[in-house]
Amino acid sequence: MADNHHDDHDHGHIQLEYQPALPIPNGKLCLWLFLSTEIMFFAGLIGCYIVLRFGAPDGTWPKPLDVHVIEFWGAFNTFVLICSSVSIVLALEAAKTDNEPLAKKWMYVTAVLGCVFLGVKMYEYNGKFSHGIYPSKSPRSLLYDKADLYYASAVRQNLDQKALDITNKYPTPEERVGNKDVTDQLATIEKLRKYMVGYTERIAATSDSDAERHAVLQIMAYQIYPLERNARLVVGDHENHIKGLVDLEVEVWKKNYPAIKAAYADGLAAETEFKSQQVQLEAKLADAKKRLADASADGQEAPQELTDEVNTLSTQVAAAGTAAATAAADNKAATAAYDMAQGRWELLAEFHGVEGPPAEDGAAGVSGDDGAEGEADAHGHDEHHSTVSFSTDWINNKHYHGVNTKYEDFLMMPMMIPSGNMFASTYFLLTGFHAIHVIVGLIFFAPMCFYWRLDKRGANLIENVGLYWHFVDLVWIFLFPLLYLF
Amino acid sequence: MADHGHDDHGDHGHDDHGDHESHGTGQYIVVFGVLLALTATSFMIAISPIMNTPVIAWTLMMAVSCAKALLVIAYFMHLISEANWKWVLTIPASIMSVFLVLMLVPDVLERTKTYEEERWLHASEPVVEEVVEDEHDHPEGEHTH
Repeated sequence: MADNHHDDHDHGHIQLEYQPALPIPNGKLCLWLFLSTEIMFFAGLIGCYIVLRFGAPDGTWPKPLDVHVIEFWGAFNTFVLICSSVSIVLALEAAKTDNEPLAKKWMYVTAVLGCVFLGVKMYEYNGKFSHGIYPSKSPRSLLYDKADLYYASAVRQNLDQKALDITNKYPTPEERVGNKDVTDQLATIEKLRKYMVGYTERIAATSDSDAERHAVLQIMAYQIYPLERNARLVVGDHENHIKGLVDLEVEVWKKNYPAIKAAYADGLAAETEFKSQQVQLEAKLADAKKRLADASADGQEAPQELTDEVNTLSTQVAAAGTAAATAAADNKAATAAYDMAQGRWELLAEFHGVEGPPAEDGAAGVSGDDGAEGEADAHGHDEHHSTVSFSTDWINNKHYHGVNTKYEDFLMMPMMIPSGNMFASTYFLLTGFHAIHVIVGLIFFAPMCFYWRLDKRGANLIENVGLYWHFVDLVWIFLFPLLYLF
Repeated sequence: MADHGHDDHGDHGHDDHGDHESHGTGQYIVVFGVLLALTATSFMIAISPIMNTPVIAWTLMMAVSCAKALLVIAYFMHLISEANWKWVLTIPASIMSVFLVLMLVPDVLERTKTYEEERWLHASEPVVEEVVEDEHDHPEGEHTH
């Protein structure tokens, strides 16, 4: 054959006509072969995502809002990619008609649109990173799949570390006292350590009831990071999961509070009683000592009975002092319980809209079972007041403030997002691979915009890069509903 | 779509040679418009009450996505006007893709059906329809729907 080529030009020509296996340029054929492998590659990735997502334990996959996936930006990026598909195809058309300036112009547009897509992607990634959503279980990741004791201890460690950071930054008390921000932050951390984690850990470790242990951990998780999914989880008609749990805790609280308060009041009364006795005796002793001193000052020997009286009173004062100290020590546990009950109520009021102040209205609160509910009915549908014993505001307007939102300027605590880790892994894998393809496309766009000729001879080149770019668009067409809308 | 194809073919079909046949800007704009409309459709489905029965909404959205994908492949990637080699490259790849996903169904999609009690200790808790009561006693029962 090769010999024939040298000898006979006619045969050589015929031979060249038979050369291509398909009626398309070799470059395009290769590109299509590459794309068919790409189809399987992305089908594998998307398929994995589908089976992982729909095989997750029932109802646990996070809703978009829970993991800072914003539908608008997904739709916007879809729009951007569709536009860029059109622009590159228009560049091809222009090149085919040998209109190089127009082809270049459309390529610029395509490149800019590709950059816009990546920019939005970066913005979205940043939003996730800054909320502790990372693809792997790194130390920075704040995702926890369930509210268990590991979660509670992670929350405690997080708070301890935060407090340590602040005190390291402002080592001396003087630096802290003048700085309102710092003192407020430390007070908040202390409050959360005591009434949120402390309480939760104690109940979770000591309660006999599975349900109570479970509930207290769940409540803590919602205080930190309320989930749209759980807020919308319908239990009764107008109730929901977390409301039920909080109501349970409120019920228990109301049941225990009178006893705690009574114990505290009794202890306090005893302590005061002993203290006042001590004070009276001290006054008497001082008086006796004075009389003894007066008597001695005259130069005479003090009467025996005065000395005896002073001695007796001294003993009594010491005894009264010991009794008062014992009473105070006895009262310590009751005081702590009382303090915890109050702090806990304030926390429930702060993060779950529980109504009815514990101290002042305590009697009213505990008098009837329906204390809080009754009040709620009275308040009706006041917008900014929590209506029921649990605020439904955040379910409706999506602006509920958990600890992470309320104190986001200095606190970012572990979040309970069921299947959140699986979500993060698959989300970053899929969008990451897609973004890499976008970057590769942009790498080809650069010489097309600034170096290569895009006249009639460049049309094949544009067509091949265009095919690749359309495929990138194609993948996003499937990723958008799967990641943003499902 | 087919109508537009014919129109444009009539208008510009003969100004180019061989495999570099022009498809006309007008057709691209029409396809572009349809793609935007379909994107808007998925978005509307996602915020509509159809989402209360997710399976229907998901199916609709995937159908819309497939329609978009076909439009892109057919018109932007010019596959509609290519010779028969297009089937050789696309059909096997697509079938392989579908099979690949189906292969994963028994082991991965239905993995929670074979979870041991111990495995549930480390899994996300299935959402229960009642307030609290007996979670940990019957982890198997909760996810049988």
